[in-house]
Amino acid sequence: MRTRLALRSAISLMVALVLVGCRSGPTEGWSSRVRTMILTSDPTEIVMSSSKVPGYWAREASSGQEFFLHTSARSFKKGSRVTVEGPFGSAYPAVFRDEAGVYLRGYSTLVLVVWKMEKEAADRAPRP
Amino acid sequence: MRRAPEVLLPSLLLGLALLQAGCQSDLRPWVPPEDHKAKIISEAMFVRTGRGDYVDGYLAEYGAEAPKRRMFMVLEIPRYLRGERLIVTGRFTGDSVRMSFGDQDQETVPVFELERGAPDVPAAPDVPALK
Repeated sequence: MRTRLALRSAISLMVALVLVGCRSGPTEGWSSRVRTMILTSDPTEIVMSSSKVPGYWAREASSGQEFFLHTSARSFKKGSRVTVEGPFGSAYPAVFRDEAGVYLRGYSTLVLVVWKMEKEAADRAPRP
Repeated sequence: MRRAPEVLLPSLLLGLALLQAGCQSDLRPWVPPEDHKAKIISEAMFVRTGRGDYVDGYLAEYGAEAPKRRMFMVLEIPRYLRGERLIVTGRFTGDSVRMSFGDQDQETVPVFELERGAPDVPAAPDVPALK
């Protein structure tokens, strides 16, 4: 009897966790690996769940994958090479692509929440 | 009495599943998006719709025939300028905004929820070269 009760409790807990998991979105990218990005925009913003999210558009140097880097920092410039740390996940925000003047609602992209962001060492070095 | 949890537990789980499905449902019937050529005729505005939603957007006119029809184009990042011509994709929501134009009485303007807006750049005319 105790075994059945324990099994039932375990199943209930699993179902509850699955339900919570379904509501909280994808869990990919929860790593603090340092990534090198090339900023493809000046400071801008996207809108998720009616909230403005400041940051930059960027491409990962190694894969070319596009990311939106969510940060309140505004000191970086388009074209800068930066290293970023933080978790990321897929999202469908409303975006305005300045370069083309195109507005898109439900744009599929990866949003990286910046924990740490700095200019890459090579980008900081003085040029002759 | 011992069987009560066996009955209650599946019912509770089913209830939770239905509740979750209900929370995520959109009760509006699906309609295909429409494409229009539109011209923005106002600055960005923050208005209250007939249904009580507060939305950002622009007053725009569209349609080929005169007089042009008006719509209130709702979008979440209002970066366009008055006078811009756009090709817009979206849906009329069934909601409306009451607006007055000059000395006229208030007019009911339908709300158009924008999904995609791109500049309408007319193609250059194909003029044959002089010989």
